Amino acid sequence: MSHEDTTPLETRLANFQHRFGALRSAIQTVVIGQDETVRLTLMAMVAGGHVLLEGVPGLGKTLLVKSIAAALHLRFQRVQFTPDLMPSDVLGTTLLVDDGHGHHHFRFEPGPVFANVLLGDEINRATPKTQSALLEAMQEGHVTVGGETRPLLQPFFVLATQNPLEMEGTYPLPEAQMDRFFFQIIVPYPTEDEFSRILELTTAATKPEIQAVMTGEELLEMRALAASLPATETIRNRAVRLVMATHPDSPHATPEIKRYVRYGASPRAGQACLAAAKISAALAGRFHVSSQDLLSVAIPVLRHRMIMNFEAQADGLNADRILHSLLAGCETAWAKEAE
Amino acid sequence: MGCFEFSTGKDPSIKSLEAPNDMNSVPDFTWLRKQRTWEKVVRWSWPVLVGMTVSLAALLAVGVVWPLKQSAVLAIFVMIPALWILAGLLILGFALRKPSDSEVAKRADRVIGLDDDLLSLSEYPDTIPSAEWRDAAWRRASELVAARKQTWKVEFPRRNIVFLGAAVCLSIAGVVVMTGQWNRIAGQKAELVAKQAERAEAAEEILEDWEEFVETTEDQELKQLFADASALRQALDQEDPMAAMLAMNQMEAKLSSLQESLSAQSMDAQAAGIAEALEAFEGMGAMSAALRNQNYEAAAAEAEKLQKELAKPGSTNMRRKEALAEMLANEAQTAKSRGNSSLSDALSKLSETAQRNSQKGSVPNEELQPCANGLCEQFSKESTMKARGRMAAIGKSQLDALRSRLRGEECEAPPSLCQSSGNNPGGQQAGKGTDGQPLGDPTELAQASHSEKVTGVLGEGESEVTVSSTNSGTSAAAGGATKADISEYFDLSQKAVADEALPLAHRRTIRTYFERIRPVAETQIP
Repeated sequence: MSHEDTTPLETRLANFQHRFGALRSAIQTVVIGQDETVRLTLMAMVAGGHVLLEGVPGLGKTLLVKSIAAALHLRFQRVQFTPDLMPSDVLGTTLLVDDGHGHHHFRFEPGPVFANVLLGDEINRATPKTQSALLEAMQEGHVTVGGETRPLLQPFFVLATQNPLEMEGTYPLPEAQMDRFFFQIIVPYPTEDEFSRILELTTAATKPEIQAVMTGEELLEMRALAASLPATETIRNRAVRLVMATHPDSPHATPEIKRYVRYGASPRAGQACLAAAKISAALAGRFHVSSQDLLSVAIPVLRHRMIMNFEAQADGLNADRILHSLLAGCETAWAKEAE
Repeated sequence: MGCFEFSTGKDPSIKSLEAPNDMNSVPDFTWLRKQRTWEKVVRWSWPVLVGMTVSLAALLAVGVVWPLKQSAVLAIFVMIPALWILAGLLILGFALRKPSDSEVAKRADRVIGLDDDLLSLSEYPDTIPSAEWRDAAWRRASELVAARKQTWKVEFPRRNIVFLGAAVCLSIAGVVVMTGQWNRIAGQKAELVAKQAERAEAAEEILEDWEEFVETTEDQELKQLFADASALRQALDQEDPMAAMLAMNQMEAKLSSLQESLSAQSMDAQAAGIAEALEAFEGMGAMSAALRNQNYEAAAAEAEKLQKELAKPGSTNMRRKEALAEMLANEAQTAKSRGNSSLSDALSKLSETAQRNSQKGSVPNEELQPCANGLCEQFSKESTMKARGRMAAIGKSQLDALRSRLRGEECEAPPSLCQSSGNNPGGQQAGKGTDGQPLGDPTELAQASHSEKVTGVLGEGESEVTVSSTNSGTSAAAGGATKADISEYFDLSQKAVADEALPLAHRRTIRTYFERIRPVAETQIP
C-alpha cells in the first residue's frame, strides 16, 4: 500500500479479506482440515511474525509450510535440525575459493536462512548454539557472518516445528528464542472426516498442485494495511492488562497465575497481541480493533511466553488451561465495565 | 455533529447515525448519556430503596418493641426524613453525575450488540488522526446501527415500586408510632412532675407541722429539738439531698436519745405494783385503775379529786393492813433503785403512814393528804414525760416518712405533731375514743316500709290492728328510684374520694369520713 493510494478504505479492506481467503483456500486444497492452524499461520505471516508449530509427527506441519511457500510464490528452504547441525549450516559460511588463476578469495556461501520461508523442522533437536543462530535473523531480518552483516530476503518467515513427544536428546528452546515466535500453534489431530479425505488425497494417482495466488509484495501490502488499522486507547490498555496479568506478581493476575506461573509474558507479547488483533479486525471487516480480537489471538500469542513453575507441572497444568481461565476473567471484567 | 436517536418507548427502532462533519469533533452522545444516566438512577435506586426500607423497618421495630427515651424518639423523628433526604441525595447524585463518553459508549455497545464500535468512535479524536479510518468507521457503525432493531430500553422495575411503597408506608407507620411514644413520654413526665410536687408538698406539710409545733409547745426541750428543722428546710430549699439526709439523721439521733432517757425514767414497770397497793385505800380505786392502764393523766386527775376529798375531816379505811406498808415500801425501794427518788419518797411517805395506822385500819385524811399530793405530782410528771415520748415517736415517724418521700417512695401519711400535742383540739386523746364511731355513725336511710295487719271480720265489732315499720327500710329503698339515687351517690362519693386532691396530712381522715357517710345499704345493692 502506498500513501498515494486513493482506493476507498472499504475496498482495500475487502481486498485484504479476499487475498487472505484466496491464500487460505489455495493452501487448503493440499492441507486437509487444520483450519485454525492455517488461519493463525497466515495471520502471523501477514503480521511479519514467525510461527512455532507443535504437534506429533505426521500431522502435516511440513506440508503446511511448503504449501504456504508455494502459494505465495516465495523462496522456500528447509533445515532438518539435528544435534550435530552447526550454526554455519543454517546461516552460511565463507569459503576460500580458487579462481583458476592462482588467486584465492573468500566467497560467502549463503545458508538456508537466505530464503523467504525457512522451515526449521524439529528445531528442538539442534543444540542451543545452533538455535541461537536464528535469533538475529528472526528479530532483525539480517545475519552477521564473518563480521559482515547480510540482509535477508523480504518477506522472511521462520516456521519451526517441534515434536512434544520425543523429549530424549532434545534441547528445549531458550526463553529468548521462544519469545521471538509470534505464535505458538498446537497442531491438532485431524477429525475422522478430515483423516479420510487426507487418505483419499494422498493415496490417489494424481496429487493436487498449489498455484501461487499472491506475491511477496502483496503480502507486504496486506501487512501495511493491517498495521495502519487503529487501536484505541481502551483497547491498548486492555492488551497491556492482559499481558501484565500473566505475571504472578501483577495485581491483575488470577490466583492460578500467582500459583503456577514463574514468569509472565514479555512486552513483545503485547506487540504481537495487538498486531494479531489488528489482522483479526481487518479479516472481520472492522475499522478498529475490538476486545474480542484481543481475546481471539491471546492464547497462541501468550502460551509459549509464559514459564510455568514446577507445581504446575506436578499438577498437570499447562499454559492453555491457565490462559483460558485468565481470558474468561478478562471477558467478565470488560463486560462489567459496560454494566 | 453526529447523533444517535434511540427510542425508549414501544417503538424500539434506532433511527439513524450520522457522521460528524468535523472529524476532530467529539461524537454527540447526548441521548445515550441520558439513557445511561436514567439507567444508573434506576439501577442504584434499588439498593437505596431496599436499604431505606430495611432501615425504616428497623426503626419501626425499635419503636414498637421498646419503650424509648425522649431523646431516642426525637432521633427517630429526625432519622425518618433524614433517610428520605439521604436516599434522594444518593439518587440525585447518580442522576447529576455526568457519565464519560467512554462509559456511555461501552454500555451502548453492549446494549446494542456492537463490537466496541461506539467505544472506538468515542476515542478516535484522541488516538486516530486519520480522517480516512474514522470516516470509514462512522459509515460502518451507521450501517450496523441501522441494521439493528434493538433499543436501549430503561424501565422502572416493579420491585422498586414495591419497595418505594413499602418505604412510604413504613415512614407513615414510624411517624404514628413515634408520636405515640412521644405522648407516652410526655404523660410520664407530667406524672413525674406531679409526684415530685406532691412529695415536696408533703415534705412542706411536715416541716410546717414542726414549725407550728415549735411555736405552740411549751416544752422547751421539744421546742429546741424541732427548731433544728430549720437546717433541714435549708437543705431542702437548696435541693441538697445529702445535707437533708444528714440533718434528718442528726435529728433522729436526738429524738432517739430523748426516747431512751424518757424510757429510763418511766414508771411503767412499777405501775401495776403501785396500783395494786393503792387499791387497798378506800377511795383510791379509780386512781388505781387509771394507773394500772398506765393512764397517768387520768391518774393525776383522780389524785386531784382525792386531794379535795381528803381536805374534808375524816379518815380513809385500809384493806390488807398487814401487807400494805410492806408493799409500798418495796415499790419505794424499787423506784429508788431505778433512780426515781421523788417517786420513792412519795411511796415511802405513804408506806410510813400506812404503817403507823395499821392497827386502826384507817388513816386520818390530814395524814393521807400530803401523800396524795406527792402521788399527784408524780403522776402529772409521768404524764408529761409520756407526752414528750409520744412527740418524739411522732417526730421519728415523720422523719421516716420524709425520708421515703425524698427517695420517691410512697408511704402512709404520718400523724401530725400539732394534732397530737395536748394544746390543740383533739389533744392528747385524739383517736383514743372507743365509744361508737369516732367519725360519727353511718347515715341511716329514711323509713320506707310500712305494713298493717288487721284481724276480725269486716263490719263486726272491734278489730285488732298491728302496725309494723321496718327501721332500716333497706329492701324497699333498694328498689326503684331510690336505688338509682343511691348508686349515683355511691359513684359520686367514690369519685370524689379518688379524684380530689386532698391534703396529705388529713387525707386518710377525710377519706374515712367520706366512706363512713356513705349509705349503709350500699353493699346490699345488687
